[in-house]
Amino acid sequence: MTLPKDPAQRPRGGGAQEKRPDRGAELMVAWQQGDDQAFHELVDAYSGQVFALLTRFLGRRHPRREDLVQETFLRLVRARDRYTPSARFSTWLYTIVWRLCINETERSRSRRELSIDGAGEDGQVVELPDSVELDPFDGVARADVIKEVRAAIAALPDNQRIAMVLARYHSLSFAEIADVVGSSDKAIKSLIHRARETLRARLQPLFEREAI
Amino acid sequence: MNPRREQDEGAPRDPRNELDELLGLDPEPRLPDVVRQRIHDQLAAENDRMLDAVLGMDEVTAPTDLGDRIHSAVRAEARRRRSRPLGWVAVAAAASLLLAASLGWDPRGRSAESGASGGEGAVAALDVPSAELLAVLPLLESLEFLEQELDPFEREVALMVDPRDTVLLELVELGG
Repeated sequence: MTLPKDPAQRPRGGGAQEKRPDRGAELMVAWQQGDDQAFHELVDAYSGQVFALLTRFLGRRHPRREDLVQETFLRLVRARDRYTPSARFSTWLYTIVWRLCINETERSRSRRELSIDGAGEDGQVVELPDSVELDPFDGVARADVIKEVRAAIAALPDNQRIAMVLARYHSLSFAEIADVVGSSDKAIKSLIHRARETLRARLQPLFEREAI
Repeated sequence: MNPRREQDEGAPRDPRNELDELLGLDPEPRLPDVVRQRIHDQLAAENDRMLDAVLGMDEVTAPTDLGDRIHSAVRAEARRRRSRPLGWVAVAAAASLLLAASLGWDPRGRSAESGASGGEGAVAALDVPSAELLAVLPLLESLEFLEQELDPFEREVALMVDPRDTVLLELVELGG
């Protein structure tokens, strides 16, 4: 089944009208019933998504991304018996990730770790490009675009960034994102709209370059 | 009325001006609002498409050993949770052994006082629990706990504790 591109059209997980199969919830229930292989499948299926969400939210230079993926799954283990498939599994999992993100952001801010070499003039953390992840066959232009995109995402306020990343990269509906961050559908729609406007304005020169 | 025409009322008419006047009669074309809106929508959609395209260029690749690291962390956590009571259990076991040893209990079943005596004496001793037996009861309970709660490796490590170990004795004394 293909999800609608517009997050507003995507169904909320776990509702009566929910038609999407939820493999994560099935695996979680199987694991609760003693199937340890189900936990291995959960790790295989979701660890990459958790890592991607942490990376896009915290930035590629954050040194604790992998530790936080482990911490996410440790919390999953601790909450195993409390899980009920009332919402989509991914929504529940991303809620754990979001809480870790908040804690980590507050911790980073209090330590001012990143401000030493990563802060811009306005105090915003500037996302720097990876030194090793660029494909040498892609050329400089593509590397520039990716660098700009990462910097633009990193410069968004926290709540806009998480909402935009969950909608764009994890295909969550407005309602599901609202569940993750504890907000309303309307507020999420507004956050995403503002985030996209900010990104569009910042990345506009790239569109023009692409068009040429 | 064209002001230039008023000005040149009496002058001979220039055919080039006539042409301009004729062309001026053609009203300014106006884009219908519906079409204007459609163009705006198309541009917005194109902008969205471009934005999604550039956002899509940013890919995240997870480390290949991420799953293994998660499983290792989960196993380590499980071990930690199981072995959490091990510290005080070991100390309790050591204290029990120490107490029993001070009372003359021998793990091989002989008492310091009774020496090699057994048979009727031993049976009689069971009728009324001796102070030695009561003293080692916590130890037996601890051993039962170790048997039930720990895996074979952890049990082996726990039982390697020598109650006569001077360091442990000192710790027990300090704790007591």
